[in-house]
Amino acid sequence: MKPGPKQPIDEPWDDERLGRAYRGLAAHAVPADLVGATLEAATTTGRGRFGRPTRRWAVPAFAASAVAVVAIAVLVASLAFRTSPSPASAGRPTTVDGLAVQTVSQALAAEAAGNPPDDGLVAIGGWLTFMPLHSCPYQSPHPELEPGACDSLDLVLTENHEDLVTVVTNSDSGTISSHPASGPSMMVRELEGAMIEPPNPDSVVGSEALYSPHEAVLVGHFHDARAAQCSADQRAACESAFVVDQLAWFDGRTLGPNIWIGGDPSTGAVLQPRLTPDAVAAALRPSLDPADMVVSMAATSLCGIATITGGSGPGGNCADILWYVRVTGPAPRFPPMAWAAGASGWMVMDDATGRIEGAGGWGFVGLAPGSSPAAPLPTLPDGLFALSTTNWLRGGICAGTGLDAVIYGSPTDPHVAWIENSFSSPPRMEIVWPAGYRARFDPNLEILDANGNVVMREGDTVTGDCGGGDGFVFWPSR
Amino acid sequence: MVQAPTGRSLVDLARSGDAAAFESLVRSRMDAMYRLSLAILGDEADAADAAQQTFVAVWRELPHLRDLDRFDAWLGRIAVNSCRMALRARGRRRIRELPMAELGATDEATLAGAAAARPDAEILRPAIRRLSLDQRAILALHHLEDRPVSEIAETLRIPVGTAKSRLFNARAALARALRQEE
Repeated sequence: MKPGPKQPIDEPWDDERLGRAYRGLAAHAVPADLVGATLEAATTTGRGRFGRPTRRWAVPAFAASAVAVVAIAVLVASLAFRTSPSPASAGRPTTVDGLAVQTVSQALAAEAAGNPPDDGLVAIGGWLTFMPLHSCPYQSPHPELEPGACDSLDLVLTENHEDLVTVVTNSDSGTISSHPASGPSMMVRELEGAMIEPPNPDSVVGSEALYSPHEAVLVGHFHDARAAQCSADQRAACESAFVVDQLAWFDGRTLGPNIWIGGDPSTGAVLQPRLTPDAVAAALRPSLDPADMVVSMAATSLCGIATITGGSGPGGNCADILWYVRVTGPAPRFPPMAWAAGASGWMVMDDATGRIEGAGGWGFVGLAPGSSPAAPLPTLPDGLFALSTTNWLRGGICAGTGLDAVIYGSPTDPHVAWIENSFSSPPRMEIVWPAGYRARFDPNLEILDANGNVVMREGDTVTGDCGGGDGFVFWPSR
Repeated sequence: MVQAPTGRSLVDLARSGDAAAFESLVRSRMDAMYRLSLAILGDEADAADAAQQTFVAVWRELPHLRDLDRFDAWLGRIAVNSCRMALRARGRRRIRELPMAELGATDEATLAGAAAARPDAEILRPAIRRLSLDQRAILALHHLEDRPVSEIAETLRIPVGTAKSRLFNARAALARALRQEE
């Protein structure tokens, strides 16, 4: 018998061993349908047309994950740049999605002044440039919002028309150089939930057209909730980063909502939602205000929703598909939450059931389990009282594993409703309710769910087993 | 008997819009581009996506290729760039990969080699994720495709001296990453 390759425990990683490892890593058959799908995609794209393949391997036709071939060569710094003082063309819209279009400098000034303080949507017009890449050392696991992230493609929005990239090619070599903008500009960050097409998706290696600025209006937000994941020294920069949600207008064309499809957490395959984006929008419509406009839609797994919202998500099956939809306009009609202010927010819909699972924005600050409201809860119409709630409808309250507690309430109490447990000290515990929950006194406390059904009354016993199953965990604070 | 076009003539035919010639190019080079993409990305789905995008770009840009003799270096450069885009998209999707065992090797020899190298491949896969795309690409071109430094330089459009120093630095970065994974 022929002996196999030996691999001592302390074998050095020399060329031979690395070669074996690389061949092992790449030793997989080409997927059976890849050649056919590639030929179809190539021939349907055509040559010289502005367009993308109508079919991508293992990707739904409506998937909007931006993929384009991008030029990369040697970056050479400090070449001359050209600036044209043309801040906006006559054709650029003054409003998109119901939002007034700001210039880059206006948006930066408003952000510096602390307005908007939350992640409300803003529309910014300017000149969009797809910047070349650069290499950098490996960074933290959450680098997307940090400047200079590895392997990221930079998008820059400048107030004026500026050529930021210069390409020089000849028969056997080429250089691509980039430099900072001379006028007002901002980096445009793309995070999970929304990616926009490169300005020139058909342009490739060394093509100057790939890097030429195009007039555009972007809708996005500052103060993304995921900024909390940035390292402490980068937190402020992450908070002030502009995160794009939609390419609303581009080179004279008004574009529709941004569509983004995420990956399956268990298989890695691109998700296959049951609902189309149009069906999601239609299903959301009865819950929205008539003036509301959809800006972006993202399909993600239930386990992945926190990578978009930046916080916790509802309980349930990890593989369930949810739609995260960003909306501009007045606060929605459902769920009936204590909306504070703001002209934009988000809704989450279950792909399997078509039910709304959560909502946020419009000035609403969902409370983490265990926290308490910073201010007295607002009074609602029809004699109802707001309760401290999360952003999520699914779930219920619990009193902690092995504990029983009784519900109490008072219209003069800052928390309106709470639970008491004789085994705790003190016995009173504050709780966070599902989204849309409200209270009324008739004359005793009644708890209503998002649909207006009375689900609990004063004196009811809550028996809890927090932390498992489909129920969302509402840990009481002490 | 009509002889099928090969090599330079095949590229020339594809450049002039011959779909059959382009299909032959895809079939003859898809395996290599898929493996190169897999060695750079470490993920089967992304590698398939990148390989597809590579040939879509080839079909679109082939009329502009000046030197047909450099087709393969040009193809490799487009593949590296496609991997860059795939990596960017994956960073947003945060998808998990299929286990290697769920996909079969192409032939017995490859299978035998893969079985022997499997432990090292499993160490290598997470280690390359610690590297930048440029580091991954130059290492894959060198260790998987056995391309000489001069060809790597042509593929990446960098001077030979730059390719040497980048390869050296990438090897050092990979060594550090491997120590962390072992």
